[in-house]
Amino acid sequence: MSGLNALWQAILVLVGGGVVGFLYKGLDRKLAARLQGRIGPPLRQPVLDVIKLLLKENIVPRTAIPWLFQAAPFLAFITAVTALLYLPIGSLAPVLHGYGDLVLLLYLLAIPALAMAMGGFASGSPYAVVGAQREIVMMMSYEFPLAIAAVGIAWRLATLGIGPSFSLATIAANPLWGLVGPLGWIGLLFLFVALLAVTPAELSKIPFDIPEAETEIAGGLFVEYSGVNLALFYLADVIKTLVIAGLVVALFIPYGLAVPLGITGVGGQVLDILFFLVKLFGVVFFAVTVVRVAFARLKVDQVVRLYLLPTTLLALAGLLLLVLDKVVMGG
Amino acid sequence: MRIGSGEGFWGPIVWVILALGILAMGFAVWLQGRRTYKRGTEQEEPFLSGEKLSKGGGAVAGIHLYWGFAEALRPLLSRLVAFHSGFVGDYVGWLLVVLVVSLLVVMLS
Repeated sequence: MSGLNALWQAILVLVGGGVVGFLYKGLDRKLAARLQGRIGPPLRQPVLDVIKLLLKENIVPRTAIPWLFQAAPFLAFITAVTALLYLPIGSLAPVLHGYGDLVLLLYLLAIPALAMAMGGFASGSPYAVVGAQREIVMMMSYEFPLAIAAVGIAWRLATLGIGPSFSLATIAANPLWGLVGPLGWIGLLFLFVALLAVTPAELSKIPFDIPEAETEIAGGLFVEYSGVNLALFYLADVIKTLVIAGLVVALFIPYGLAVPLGITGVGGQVLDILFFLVKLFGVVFFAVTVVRVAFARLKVDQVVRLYLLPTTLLALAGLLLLVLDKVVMGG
Repeated sequence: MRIGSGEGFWGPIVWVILALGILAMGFAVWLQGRRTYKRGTEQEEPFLSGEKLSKGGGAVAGIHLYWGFAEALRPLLSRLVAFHSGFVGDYVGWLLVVLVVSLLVVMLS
């Protein structure tokens, strides 16, 4: 692939990702409102929110470390957006296929949360510091089951001689569901549930919005952010939602429609991209929208217990079943 | 340039170039925003629900960072704390037990 071709693809994915991200954000808010018996804001509300933030003053508090406070939103934005280019889209390989794998994507997904915590600490506000501490504690809890789910899949692919096993293009092109036996199938189901459980926490959405918790700590790590800096965090969240949903799709539901329907060429690729967007929406709707409507905010110790005990145990059980599946089925 | 381990890989230079491009995009957004505020006024005071921040600042000690962990894992931690008797003999005993178990695992595997 030539550099110019890659550049065009990257621009297309970034623009498309932005549009779809805003659309899903709007749909999330609209559907959450409908589930609660409200009319909800218009679909374009997230765009209006960003425009409004651009018009607001960008205040740096007296107690802040200015350069760190200003750098945090940029770091969150850069890492969330770059992550988008390492994701397979439909039947298409990632734009930067060959230049980054699943491990890189997991790191890129972790950095926006770290940047938010960094910004919170740098603001010097007690509320923000409490929020930042909560973000770190939450990350330490959910990263383990997330890593188990990702590594479990890559490991099983490697045992089947399919490689490079950490390549997202390889993982998406070789769905494990059809390659493992019954034990492996149950193990994959466990890992899938564990990853879905991690998704709302990755995005700090209710019931895992403890780092922000408006009614407790007045917005927590964002309490001192305003104007364009807050807009950059907002944009990072819009894109990160797509990336985490895209990761779930790539790891567990990478199937397309073009091959079963016998459609080839550009038509098949377009059909697969549309189906990919439907799957993304499904993940966002069930793992984020429905969950945040159905549950109230948990306390920090409840979040830690939930991820370090049942979710981690579920993920470990899934990994163990994949190991047993390898023993029973062979390499 | 690409760093690979056989099963995984990444190109740091490609990522840095990409990150610089996205930084430029972020900066373009940043330039669209309002960058002024009333310096030296109450606007700069951190929000504390109307309270004044004390002279020493509103520092929240780092020890609180692990509160959620300690609270969630209290049944496990209280058992672990009970192991810490302060006697060197106890610690050496545990070291020996762990060594023996590790050796057995290595030998059996």
